[in-house]
Amino acid sequence: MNHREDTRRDDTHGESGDNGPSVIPFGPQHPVLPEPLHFDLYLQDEKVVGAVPQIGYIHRGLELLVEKRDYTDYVHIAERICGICSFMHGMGYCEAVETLLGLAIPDRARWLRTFWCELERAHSHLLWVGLAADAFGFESLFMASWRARELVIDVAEETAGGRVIFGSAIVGGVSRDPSDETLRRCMKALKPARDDIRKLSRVMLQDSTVRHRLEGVGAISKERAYELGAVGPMLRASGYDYDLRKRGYAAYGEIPFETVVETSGDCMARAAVRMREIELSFEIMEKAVAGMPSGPVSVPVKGMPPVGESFARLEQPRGEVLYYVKSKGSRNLERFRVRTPTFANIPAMVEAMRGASLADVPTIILTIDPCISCTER
Amino acid sequence: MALLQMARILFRNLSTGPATRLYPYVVRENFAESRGRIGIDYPACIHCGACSKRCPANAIVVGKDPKSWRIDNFACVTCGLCIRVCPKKCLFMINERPKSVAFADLAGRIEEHSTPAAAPGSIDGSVGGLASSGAAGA
Repeated sequence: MNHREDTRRDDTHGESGDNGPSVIPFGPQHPVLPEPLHFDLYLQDEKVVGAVPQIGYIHRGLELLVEKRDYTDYVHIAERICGICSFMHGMGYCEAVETLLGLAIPDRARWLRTFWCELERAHSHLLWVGLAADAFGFESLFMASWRARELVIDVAEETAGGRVIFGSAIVGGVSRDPSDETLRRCMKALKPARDDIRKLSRVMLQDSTVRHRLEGVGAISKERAYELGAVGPMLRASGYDYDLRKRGYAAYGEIPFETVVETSGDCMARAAVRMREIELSFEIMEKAVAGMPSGPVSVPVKGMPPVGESFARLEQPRGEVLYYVKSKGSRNLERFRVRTPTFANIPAMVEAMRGASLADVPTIILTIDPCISCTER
Repeated sequence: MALLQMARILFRNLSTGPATRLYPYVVRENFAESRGRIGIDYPACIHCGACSKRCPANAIVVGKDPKSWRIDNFACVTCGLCIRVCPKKCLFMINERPKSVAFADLAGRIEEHSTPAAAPGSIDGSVGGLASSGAAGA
């Protein structure tokens, strides 16, 4: 197991002109990386024997701002942690603060939050399909998946008012109340996207060129993925059935659904989990719209949060995310902390890279769907 | 089999035309619920300053003496918090976005209202100062 030690030993051999590994810098600027992430790749010929990840290029200090903003206003900053899972960041913060306040939000707000979460998951996974297809050189699949994503984003704009930043989660519920007709009309508008995705799913999972690039690449076993703390599709692709939505936050406890699990643990399994999860997201959205209760969408929030701490856990498109808040009893919270899924997945990604060839490294990085913006905040 | 699947998608693309629009010649109509920019029914405003105090982007400046209200649409993040806190409910969301920077005249960027009876000279002075500080911030 001591790859790191092997690497060091081989390094000294390399210096003496022996057949040691060479170090290739990968990133932070790289054609397949949408965001800055750096790796020192240790290569033995074309095979990766070790990888040292490095982050820290886009740290913005958003967590510190919680000390300077009113606790009900900070949700707008929490939403801006990430441009893809923005609604879930805002909602996670709200859930943590609502736990702290002992606040129960109205039923309709819980169901609307579920609807928007799944809408965001669908758009995030479709974005990933495009990026992954672009990484292994399948341009037309990239374009086709982003065309389907456009319809999903249109629904986001029609219901929440924004294409990327939904801005609809607030402490105490949601700030917008799309009518039942609007929601039904949106589900109808999503039908062409669903048809497209079914076709694209067949291309992604059965096309020989895609299979050639993904099958058997970057495999990681169920036990190893669990030991390294992998989360989300990365863990489920290795056969571990772990989906926080089953914990029943928001309205997930009242909507029956089957989690998506694959067993082979390679890049193809991770792609398959995401492709099937898009379909699952649409199913949950449909059930949420059908069972949407009526009533108010928010409760008024008054007073200071009590001294104490609380946390909330959600299932983001990339996996489990944890929000921690600590209050000192004033309008400004004392501490806010996010443990993001990409951060949890980096050790498993490094493990998956070992033994892969250099040409497969971009594919392996992309199949964990890294979001460096969240990871560094 | 899957190759045929992609070919079918490609052939359909040939017959359906482009999925994109020839923007800016063809502009999509905004959704009624789109968050474009903040509007104000100025005569109803009581200059309490609640919107300005709660604005997360410091985009709104409310003057008490002389009475004025201004918003920098490029700094505004359209969160809608000002609309929710306004005691007179005189703020509202417009579904059209402000003009982009390519047409950067201040008319599209800054929306300003003032009560002229007070001191018009000082308002003129504040326009230049705020506009330049806003540009530096953006």
